Amino acid sequence: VTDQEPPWDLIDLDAAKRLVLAGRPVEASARTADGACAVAVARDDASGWFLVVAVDGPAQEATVVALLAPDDPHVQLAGSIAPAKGVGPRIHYGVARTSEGAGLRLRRGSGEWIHGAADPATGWALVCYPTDDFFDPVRIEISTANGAWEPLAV
Amino acid sequence: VVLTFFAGGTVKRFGLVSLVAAALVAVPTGVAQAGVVTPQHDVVCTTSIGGARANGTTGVVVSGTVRCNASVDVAVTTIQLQIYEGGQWRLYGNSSSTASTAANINISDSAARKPGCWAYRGVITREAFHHNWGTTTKYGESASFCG
Repeated sequence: VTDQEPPWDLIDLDAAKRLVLAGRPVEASARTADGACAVAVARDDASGWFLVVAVDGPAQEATVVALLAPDDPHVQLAGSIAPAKGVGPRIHYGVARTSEGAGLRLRRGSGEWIHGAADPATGWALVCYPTDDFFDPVRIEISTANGAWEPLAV
Repeated sequence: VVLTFFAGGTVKRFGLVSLVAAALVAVPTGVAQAGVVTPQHDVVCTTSIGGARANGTTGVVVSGTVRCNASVDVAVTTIQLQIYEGGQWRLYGNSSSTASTAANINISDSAARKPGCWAYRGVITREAFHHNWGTTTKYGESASFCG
């Protein structure tokens, strides 16, 4: 377990959110074609930790949804954020960084897959999906070394 | 700045408000007005899960942690082993769960190993509410054991 206590006093959550909302360069980012949501990984300069930021596009509201240790070599993370349980909009997201360069894909119900390929340089793969219907079924999958896909979150 | 407000006749210090599951929330900071509680900063967490490890000669165990910069109002954290069987990952054994809202949580799940050689991994899921609501699910690295 990467059982490190994050250096809370060093980490600047607001700076990461401002960076992402301003469209400034970050470690990795992905957004839907219509800009309804975005997810980004921003590196906190002072601590070296990575901050996962989810953005509600229409509201231009950014949320730090997770922290990732700087030396964690294996990231397979999925989640969602909403104003309250049962209340939309709900932003689903997936974040991966593996030694195999795994990619992600996400779809609502039986709809088309939204793909998030791994960046060859950094290994980060990101995907997001916004829905006003909190209970919309969303499935996120990660690619495996043999080219198959397996569930990351359903 | 820590806001102070009255609740049930007592004064409570309410320094945080946003939430998260494994993280957070993002309500803009603002100027506090009378009767208005304005979030001063986010509650943010990091959730970690280690690789599956042998537990004695016949068992397998996986451990996880949650580290937050403050406690949240409501949280459920669950960890469970998975086994790679039939070409896919399946839940294995019974899960371990806690409703602790503490800022720091250590949690583990163990089970007897299945006869033969199998790959195992762990998955930790956290659902939390603290102004906002969120979920996070994180998978650990797999490891194979025989016997």
